[in-house]
Amino acid sequence: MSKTNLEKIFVCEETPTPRILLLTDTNEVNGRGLLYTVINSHLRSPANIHYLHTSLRAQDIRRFLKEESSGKIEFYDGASDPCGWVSDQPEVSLQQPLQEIFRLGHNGDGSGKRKIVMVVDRLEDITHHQDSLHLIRSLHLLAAGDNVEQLILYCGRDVMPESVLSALCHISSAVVHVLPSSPCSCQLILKKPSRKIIKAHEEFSLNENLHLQDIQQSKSKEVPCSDENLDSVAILASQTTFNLTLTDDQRIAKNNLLLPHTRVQSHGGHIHYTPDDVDDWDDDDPDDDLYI
Amino acid sequence: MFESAKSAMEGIGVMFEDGGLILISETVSASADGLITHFLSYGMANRHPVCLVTLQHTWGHYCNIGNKLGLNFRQQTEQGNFKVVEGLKLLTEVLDESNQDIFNHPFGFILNASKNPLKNLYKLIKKTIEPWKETGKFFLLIVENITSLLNLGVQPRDINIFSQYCKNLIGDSPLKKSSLLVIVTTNDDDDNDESLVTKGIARSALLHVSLKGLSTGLSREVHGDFKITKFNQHAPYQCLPVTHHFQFKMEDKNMKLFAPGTSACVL
Repeated sequence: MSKTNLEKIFVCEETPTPRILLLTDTNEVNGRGLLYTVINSHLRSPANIHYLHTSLRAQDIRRFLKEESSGKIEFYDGASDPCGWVSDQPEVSLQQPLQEIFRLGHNGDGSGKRKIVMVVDRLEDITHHQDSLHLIRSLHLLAAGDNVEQLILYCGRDVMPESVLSALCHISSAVVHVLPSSPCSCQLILKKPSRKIIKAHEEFSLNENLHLQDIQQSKSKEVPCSDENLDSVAILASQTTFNLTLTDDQRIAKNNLLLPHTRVQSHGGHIHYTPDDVDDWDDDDPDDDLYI
Repeated sequence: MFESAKSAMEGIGVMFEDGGLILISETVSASADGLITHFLSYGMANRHPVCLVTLQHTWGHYCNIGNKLGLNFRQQTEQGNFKVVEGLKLLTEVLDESNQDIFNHPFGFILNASKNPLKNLYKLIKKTIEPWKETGKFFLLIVENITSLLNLGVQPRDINIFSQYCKNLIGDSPLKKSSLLVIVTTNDDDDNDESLVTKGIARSALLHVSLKGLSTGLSREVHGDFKITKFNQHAPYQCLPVTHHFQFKMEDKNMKLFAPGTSACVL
């Protein structure tokens, strides 16, 4: 049975593994469950996880991760004192470049052959402390490191600056936007090494053990609009007596309609010219006397 | 005090005694003053110490509201149960030319550009609640209205950092009991900075209470929408939050909540 794109990404069955995985959510939907799902998959593989957290505490995250699997996790606490207000030399300062933060753990990592997975939870908290250009560069350098299997970035797309979000989408091999629909769904963009880009919209649910289930292509044919667009369309439709919406049948008929210029472009066109009586029809080239 | 608001929040599974961060967002047409007074009266009734950081109103404003409701907040400050950090008073101190120590003043960033403008304010709040933390007492920390700092030139990112540090002060964790932090923001869809601050804090909040005026205008029987949103922090497999939507009417000594479309003028 062919795997869905969501399964390939979050159960680590995509070959090769997307180097940078960007997972985004909003205030209306929580993507943390999916984050824990992919981390648990890596723990089973096994891989060593280096986890930088900026909002929750390590013990609050740890209870959802299956550390009894063969992988191990090292936490970097960017939540307690991110910019040194409590201590002059905090354990982890988010003002440092990410390469320096993650280097703290690499020194003690004796299993050089084991794959490393780095997690940044949440990226928008780091943008508060660092220049966005330097941050993007740091992420590039981190993902290109030796033994790095994957760099997982988790952020809220409604609080990230637009420019930073588009840069992140550009450098990521896999982008998953969790949508506030019911049932839960996400928009995926998967960039293969062969330069093929797969876009999908899949529905899913998670069980209590954070396993993906009920994955299927989203039934809606259209890419779902954001809530604001849906509201504005509804408001516009309610303000007139005209019907501004289309039924499914009307939409299909509209998409199947071949417009005259489209027909000409695909089948070729002919110019039919009927000269008048007074026309001096001459087959000679009028530009013959030009010395070009 | 507002039994309907309390039962609405308990109905979604939030008990104040469990602690955590509660975000209250208001708009220009729907003020959260009533809910702030509700939390002050909760602290007073249950003998929990309260630290109120007022950035928009004066302490006198809340004392007057309390007097109308039969609550003596001034007595609580005299007894040491309530401690108030008055932003407006601190602001006038900074602007007073005789004040020499601008560098360490909580609002010194107004005259001295600083990389961490809210660090001194955080230190003042930490010093204020330190005695309660040392004895392991459950306390309330209320910060009102944090988006007022935007008017003083503070950036949204600095406010988000400040709220993160305030959250660390109460020891917020789903695994163990922490104190209660209530942050009030103004959330205007047309103001990008206010919206960013509200969304940034909502991410780490246990509960988000949103007060908005009616989009269609003013009504005598309905003063606005009251929406409660809660993500289950113990169940990350639930991607969608639980949302309860009410409409409210502020009365003299009460906040009446009812299901949308069931106000007295309709029924």
